[in-house]
Amino acid sequence: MTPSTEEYPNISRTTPWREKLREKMTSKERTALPRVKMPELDESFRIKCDEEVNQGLSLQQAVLEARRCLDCPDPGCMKGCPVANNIPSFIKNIERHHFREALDVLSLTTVLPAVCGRVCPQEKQCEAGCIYNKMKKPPVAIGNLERFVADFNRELSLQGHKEDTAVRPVPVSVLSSIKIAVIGSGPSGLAFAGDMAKQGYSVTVFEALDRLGGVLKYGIPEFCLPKDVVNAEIARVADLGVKFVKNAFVGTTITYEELHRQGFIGIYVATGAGKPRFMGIKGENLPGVMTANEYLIRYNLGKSEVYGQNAMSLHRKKVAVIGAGNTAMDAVRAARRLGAERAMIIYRRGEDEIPARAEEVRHALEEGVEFLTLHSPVEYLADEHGILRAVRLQRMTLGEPDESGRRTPVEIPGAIEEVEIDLAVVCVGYLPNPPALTGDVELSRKGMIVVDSDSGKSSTSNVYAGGDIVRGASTVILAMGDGRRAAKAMSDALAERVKNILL
Amino acid sequence: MNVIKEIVRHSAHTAEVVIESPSVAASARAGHFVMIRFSEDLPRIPFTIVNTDPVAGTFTIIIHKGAKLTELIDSLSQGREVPNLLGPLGQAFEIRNYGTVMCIGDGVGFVPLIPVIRELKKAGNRVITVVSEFSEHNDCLRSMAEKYSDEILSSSSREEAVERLSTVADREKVDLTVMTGPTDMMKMLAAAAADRKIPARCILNMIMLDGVGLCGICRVMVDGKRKLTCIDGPTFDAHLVDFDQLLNRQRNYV
Repeated sequence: MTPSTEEYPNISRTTPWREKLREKMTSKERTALPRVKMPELDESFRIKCDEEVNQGLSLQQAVLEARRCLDCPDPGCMKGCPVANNIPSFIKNIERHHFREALDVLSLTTVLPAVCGRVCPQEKQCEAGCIYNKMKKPPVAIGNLERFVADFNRELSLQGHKEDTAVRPVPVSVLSSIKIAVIGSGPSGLAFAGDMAKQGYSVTVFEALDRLGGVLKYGIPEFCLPKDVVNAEIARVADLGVKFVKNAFVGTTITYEELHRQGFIGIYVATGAGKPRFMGIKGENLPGVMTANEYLIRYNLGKSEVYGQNAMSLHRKKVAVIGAGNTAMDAVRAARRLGAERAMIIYRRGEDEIPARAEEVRHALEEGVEFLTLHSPVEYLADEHGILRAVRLQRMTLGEPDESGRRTPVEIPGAIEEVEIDLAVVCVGYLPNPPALTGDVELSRKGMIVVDSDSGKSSTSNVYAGGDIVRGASTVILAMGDGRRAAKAMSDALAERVKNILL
Repeated sequence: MNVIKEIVRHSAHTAEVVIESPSVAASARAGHFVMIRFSEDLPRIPFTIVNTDPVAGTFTIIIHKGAKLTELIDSLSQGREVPNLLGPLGQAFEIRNYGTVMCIGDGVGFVPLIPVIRELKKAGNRVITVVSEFSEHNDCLRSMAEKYSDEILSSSSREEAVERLSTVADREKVDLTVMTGPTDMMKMLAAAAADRKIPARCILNMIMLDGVGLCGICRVMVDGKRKLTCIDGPTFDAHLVDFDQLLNRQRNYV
């Protein structure tokens, strides 16, 4: 998955320009630089709109931050990147003001740099491996720099500078006659499609809904990830020669047999996990209790999404979001923007266990979100008209660590409280998307596709899978890593077959 | 591309729209629905697939003004492209020879019954249909039902619909009832059918955003289990549906 320096000599650490660049500043000078702070919209302004909170680094800020990178001989950051981005190489290109080449480096391994620069949990991945951590200093802002590279080049192309050499259709080869189907246009499917198209395969992505991008469009709100950014990155995937078919729900409106009949010989299933889970407590079907999907789809895609004039308004005053993952943070921050006076996260574990990205939690706090940690809902209560009026919460304490290493929440007997709310948004996890595959693909008890973890290969030949349909609800970047691994495994397997035919 | 092949305006309130989609035409069965967005600024709306013509590669839906779709009907024209169409979705109605089947619907909610009535008749059932009081608004629906019904009755209220069920059941053995329409009417009909130990199916008419199991708006408790109308339905065993909860929830949406 990591591009070799023989194939791409430009990314080698020992190219002359890079050696020279390293000598321009001493390590001491570099480490003395403070981490550049990402400019952000003021909280009082941003909760009145859905403008993106993070404003992106300026060119000068990006170059300054890039200087902090020590260009380590054995870069720890790369070990933490699920798609194996060559991080020092793209950062050093920023330092020498070669922004397009920085994008070229990223494009070797990722099709969604602007997305990942925004939504990856860098503090747990690349930035966690940065040498600065050992010096007790804040790590190089790798995510912010990745985003800068993608945004800067996108802006350039919007100004008419079409120099995006990283993305060009691959010349026709024997592989162009091999048709590959990708099911789902979310991050995993896009990463897979991009890698396969770069090698020359004829790739078609099937999307059940009428917008491309999966969770990037339906789940993540504009204030975290603008739709234009997603569209631009999908357009780059299309520029690689990938075809997209919307409104095609494979397994339901098109069968797998039909795909085979159409000549698709390899299938990558990346249908995601978007079926909402419920806790199974009393009152979950009351008017006023909705899923995070309903809330966020309606918030993200606007009014036109709901048919029926009297659909319950999303503008509520006292909103409780159950759960503390990234989706829950998105929902609770959306609640503030929709005018909620109280917007609460209700989470059964403690603050340290919150699974959401650190930046999202910080943004939520700044925006006035309340965190009711160590609280677990036990019942939703209705008023005399049968409408949600409150949630009963069980106070919890932390016990022994469970198998995930997180301390298990334990009930404090009798410690029950009631909080008045007029909207509850349930965000306690996701199940694999229906329908399950037809045919003989092996599924786990929970309905996830069982694959070989190295290759993403399912129990059926030529069917690979990755992303949330394999992992359960996870992150954009892990889904992309699965896509890249599966692309490598599938193309290796197909290349072997092609070789045998040609011989 | 999916194109509107024909629009038949039956009344000021009702239009039959024939849409080209060979894949839907080839695989749709009675009980299936499609999600359609007729233009970018309109929501995606679920419609019952009323009829298919696999040879012509078309299928038919019926749009009612009653369902707050006045502007939609007026805006459609023959030859126009349908930008977004997904289907067939949902579970097909189980068609077989049950014996005597009573199909009871009301107003706008009558549409989902039409393909079921037709297919049940073709499968050899004796079909008795109850429509809401005859008027020019539902004339076309009635005539579609009449064609495949051995007997057609009308009712002017929900209570009368229940009465029709009782009258027929007193007179002859009814092997199955199928109901659509307002949820409170289905609740009353299901209870009446249960009293007489007649199996009952209801075809639910729910709001949904995606139609593929994501939004959860169309959730309904059936036999104590949470089901999604889009994926598991829209047809359910009416004796197992928690209509009270559904009625309470639907106040938010309809």
